[in-house]
Amino acid sequence: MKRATLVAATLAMVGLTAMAGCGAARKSADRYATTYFTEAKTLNYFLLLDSTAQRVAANTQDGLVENDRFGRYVPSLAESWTHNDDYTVWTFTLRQGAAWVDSAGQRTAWEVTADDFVEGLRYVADPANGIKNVSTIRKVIAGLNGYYYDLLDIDEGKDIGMTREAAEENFRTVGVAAPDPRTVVYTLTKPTPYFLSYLVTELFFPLERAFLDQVGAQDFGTSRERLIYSGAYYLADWQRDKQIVMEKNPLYWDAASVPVKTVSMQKVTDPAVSVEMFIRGELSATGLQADQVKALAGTPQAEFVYPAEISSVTYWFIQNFSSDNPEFRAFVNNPDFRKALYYGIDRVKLLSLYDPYNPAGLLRNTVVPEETVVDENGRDYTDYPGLAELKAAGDYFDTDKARSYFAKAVAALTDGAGAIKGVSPATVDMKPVAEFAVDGKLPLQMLYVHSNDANDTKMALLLQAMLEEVFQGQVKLVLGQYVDDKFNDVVEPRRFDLVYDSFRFGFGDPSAQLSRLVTDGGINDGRYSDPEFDALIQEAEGENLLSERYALFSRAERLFIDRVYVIPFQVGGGAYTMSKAVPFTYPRGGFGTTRFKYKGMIVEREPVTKARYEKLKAEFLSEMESATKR
Amino acid sequence: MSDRIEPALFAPAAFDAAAAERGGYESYSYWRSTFRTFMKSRLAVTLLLAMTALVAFSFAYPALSGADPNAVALDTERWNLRPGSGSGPFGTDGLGRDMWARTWHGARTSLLLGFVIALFDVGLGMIAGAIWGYARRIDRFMTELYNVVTNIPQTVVLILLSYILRPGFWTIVIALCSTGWLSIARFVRNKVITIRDAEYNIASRCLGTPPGRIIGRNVLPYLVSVIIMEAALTIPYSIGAEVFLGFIGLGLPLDTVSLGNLVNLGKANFMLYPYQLAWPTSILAAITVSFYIVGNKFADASDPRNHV
Amino acid sequence: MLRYMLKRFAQSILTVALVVLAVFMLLRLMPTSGYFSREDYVTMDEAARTAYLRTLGVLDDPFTQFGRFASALAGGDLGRSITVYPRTPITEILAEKIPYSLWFGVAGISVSMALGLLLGVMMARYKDGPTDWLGTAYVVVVRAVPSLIYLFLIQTAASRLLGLPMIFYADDVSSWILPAASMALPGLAWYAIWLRRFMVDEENKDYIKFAVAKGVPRGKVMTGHVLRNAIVPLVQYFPTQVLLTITGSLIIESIYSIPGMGGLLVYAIRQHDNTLVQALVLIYSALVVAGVFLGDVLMALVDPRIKLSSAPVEREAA
Repeated sequence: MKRATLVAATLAMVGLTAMAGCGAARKSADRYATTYFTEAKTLNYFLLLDSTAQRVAANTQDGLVENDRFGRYVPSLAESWTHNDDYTVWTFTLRQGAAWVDSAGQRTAWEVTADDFVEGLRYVADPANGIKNVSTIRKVIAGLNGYYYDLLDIDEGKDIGMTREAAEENFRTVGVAAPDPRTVVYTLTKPTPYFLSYLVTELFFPLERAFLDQVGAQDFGTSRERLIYSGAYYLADWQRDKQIVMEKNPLYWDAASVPVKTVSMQKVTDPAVSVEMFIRGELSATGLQADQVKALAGTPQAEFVYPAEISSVTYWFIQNFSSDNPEFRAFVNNPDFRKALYYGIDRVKLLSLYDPYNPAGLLRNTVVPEETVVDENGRDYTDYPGLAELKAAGDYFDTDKARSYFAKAVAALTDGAGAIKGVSPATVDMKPVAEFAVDGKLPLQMLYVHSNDANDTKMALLLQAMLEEVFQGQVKLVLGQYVDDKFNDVVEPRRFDLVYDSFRFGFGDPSAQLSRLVTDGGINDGRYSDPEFDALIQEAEGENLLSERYALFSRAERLFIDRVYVIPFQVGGGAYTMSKAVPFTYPRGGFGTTRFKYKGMIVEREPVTKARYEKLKAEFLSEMESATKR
Repeated sequence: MSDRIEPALFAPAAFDAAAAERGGYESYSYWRSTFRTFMKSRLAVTLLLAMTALVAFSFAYPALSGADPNAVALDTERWNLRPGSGSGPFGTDGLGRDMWARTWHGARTSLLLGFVIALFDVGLGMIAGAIWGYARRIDRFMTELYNVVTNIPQTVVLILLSYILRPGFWTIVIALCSTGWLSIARFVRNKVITIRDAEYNIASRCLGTPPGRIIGRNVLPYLVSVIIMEAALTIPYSIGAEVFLGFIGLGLPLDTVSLGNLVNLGKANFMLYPYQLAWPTSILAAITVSFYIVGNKFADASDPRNHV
Repeated sequence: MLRYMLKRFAQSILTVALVVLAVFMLLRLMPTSGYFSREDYVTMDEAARTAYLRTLGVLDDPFTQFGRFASALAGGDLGRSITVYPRTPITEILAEKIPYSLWFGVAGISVSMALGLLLGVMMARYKDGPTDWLGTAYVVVVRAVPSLIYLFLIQTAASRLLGLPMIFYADDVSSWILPAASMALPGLAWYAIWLRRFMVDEENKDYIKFAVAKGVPRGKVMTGHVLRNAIVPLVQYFPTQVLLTITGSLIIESIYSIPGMGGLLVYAIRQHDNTLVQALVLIYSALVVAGVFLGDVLMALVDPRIKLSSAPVEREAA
């Protein structure tokens, strides 16, 4: 035993001396060190499946345009562009001499030419390459949809009267062309004034065909050597599940705007570790959850914590209008009951699980996010009449309103003695999510489905207790769980009464969300139908002058929310951050990939304090005001 | 040298079957000796008492107190209360739920899980093992099955099954028993074969002892002790496995109160509210450690070589 | 001897093949919907999803897929990952990840063997003394308390007390200490408790009692006879333990951010990456089989009484 103790003590001492040696290093202003939680699955920048890969792609590849720090579209590999009067043909003029570099930062034999953009789209359009996101633009670029389905049919063995080679030849008819090495022309299926917002996505990144042929389509992007780079950084190191290091591209066309020379990203699994590493000086930035902020109270670090940017992702509650639960089906088709739910869910209390300090800051009352869609006069879409009032309402939770709407619904739907008209006792079979018996009488039983994640479970339990209290025991929430995927397990097989879901905002137009919410729309998961709303959307889609267009869309959205087809709940992102990077020096935006660039970011030696952040934010907002107003 | 045996000192004894048997068996009682050896260890006795008390309380408290471990406080002031500060003895969690009630409900769930798994493992294992040991025809098949199953890493089976089936109480039972019963069966089979073919049993058989008696007196005692030990050791193992499955997201649903869920939830907030992890963990450790030691001590006590 | 080895080898191949086939078929029980996310269902229609599945090669019947897997395997090709690292050759992933798990595993085994055997000897030598008592307490805690709990406490508490990094850095030796020590803990307990058990058993044997009675010094009896004989049953497990280090430790690698093999299988199963799961199961079960075989050989080497014959050697410890 004595010897064992001795060995242990020696080991401990070795540890102590070793640690005294390190720890001091790892910080410098031209280096940005951060962490990531999900591994980049592949480096193939057309196949972005996670936020880490998106971040890497944004910084190692350039597109035609990019987001600047105000979120505007500014020239990137394209120097300038023009469009025809009805916004169906867009012509881009490329910058001269932008080089492709390899994974050592060395010049390759190739330059970025107009052909590379044609080849990029050809790669994306081929179903054999399995680029999932292609559907976003399939119906935007002229001829793309037909080309895609021809190839698909051939691959499936259908006889469409031509060989694959012949079908591939038809790419000529797709609306992308390179009349000369510096000109790219896109022809679109319909007038698209917001076409630039598609260009910040990875689908329009360039691809050097000669390099692709050299490594082979299968291997493209499976390691950092099997990729060449056109962006501000090249990938200097990639160890799966460990770290990603990006070094500044010495040949970058805009090298002067790239102050940070090295971006290093470490993989961690526990957010608490990230915070601890920041405190020990090993990181330039970290995110914090509210609980971690609480833990820092009273420490010197507390003054460095400021709110993180919220995202354009919106979470909303979906109600199942065709539920197998007869009690809920009766109630949800009554507008007063939906209003009762709208006012009866205390969203702020639910959100205090995530942020006990400022839960109301995470609320969103509209479907389309604010600060994402701006008309030709610089006016935000959510400031249009109808939506502005919604936005200003903030926390509209109101027990009295909820109760009175509920009373109206009960009066209309029950016989006065608690029995729901037309509903007889039944067993609701929504296995494996849930199975329960309903008696056709009040209290109303409804199934709320949540994931088996800790916070989601907490929220479900809280919602259950909340509705019980607000509706005085007349609404009983039955809880059901799914394990894996909300859509496959819950939404698609219709196994829910109430569930919340979140949706990415795809491109810079309200139609990105609203056109998918119409009757039979792609994200109409409640399966409601409102001809009035559908007609308004159709009218808005036909209008090309942005301010007119947005006026129509905002009217439709207001009607949609007034009739409570979904209940907007919260924003994505949020929480808190500590950082040595000066806020507002780097790109921002509501969608796409280029907003994740580190270009322009200034990193300092000391963390930014909360007071300084507030000051910078005020300055930034007024700068943005004048920058976006024309 | 010249001591001569006087025949007069001896009387011939008639054969008395009953007396012969008494001489052979009565002075030694396996169970009494096992019990006596076990009771000699003060640690074992203390832990046995502690274990009984823990189990009894885990089952009695939820049944008698009526406290709801899932009762959510709508008042955010009631969330994350430290022990003693106007809350239960273990404080409250992030939703204002009473940690004291949760800990004991959790202990009950985890113990129940352990008992069920032990029951299936040992029950199935014993029956299969006994058949395996006696029926030579299936030996080949069973051995091959055993080889295949034990060659698949445990975690693979655990993860695959928990994934294919829906996470829940019975899924964990199935996942853990699917391999557990086989190793117990193998163990029992080996014991059955060795004991059955041991020289004293062959001798006993030759002397005309009926097979029922051999099984009842010579084979079963060995197996029963093994079974009790295996059952006792399965419980800490199942509780640990439940914690592990919770860690990789395939445990019991989080609105089910179990020790594994409490540990994994408490872990997330450990820096801020250490008591939310500390209390459930202490109870968990007390249960697993006492089962483990009692199981081992019982194994020692049940070994006839330790009875002298 | 040679015949026995050949027979054994053939049997091993069969076992591994059965294991892989069993897992392969189990995986086919999972629905293909797992290959898609919510956004995919919004943006891809039925035809596009089918096309995507075809590019993955998961629409053929399971036996065709297994045949394809087997024939590629014969050519030394493990295939490409489907969803975890799309299109990346599995051999490349393994080449990257195995070294981490292997080195930490070997470090863990070395420490646990050195300290564990030492502790075992001390516990047996001073049986029923404070050393034995403390050692037993340690073993009980490590074996009875779920490892997640004490490993997590070690990470948070020890890194703070000793000022060690919380996660692993390849270029910082001090960050290797906690994960390596954590790796050693269970093994240490295992070696200590079994060595103690076998030594105590051995000490009770008649030849030892005779040697002591004859006047052979106690130290000599312990090292020359007791330890030598007690260590034989442990040797059998050594190859399996070393070989299985490459499977990594799920919990330790996850909490210390070590990019090893530990979490790979879980990710692969959860993300329906069938080719990766197959490859891993194949490797793991082949390692177990090889480990058992090597263990038997090693037993025969250290113990001249044991001969490799057609009767498999019975295992004792577990």
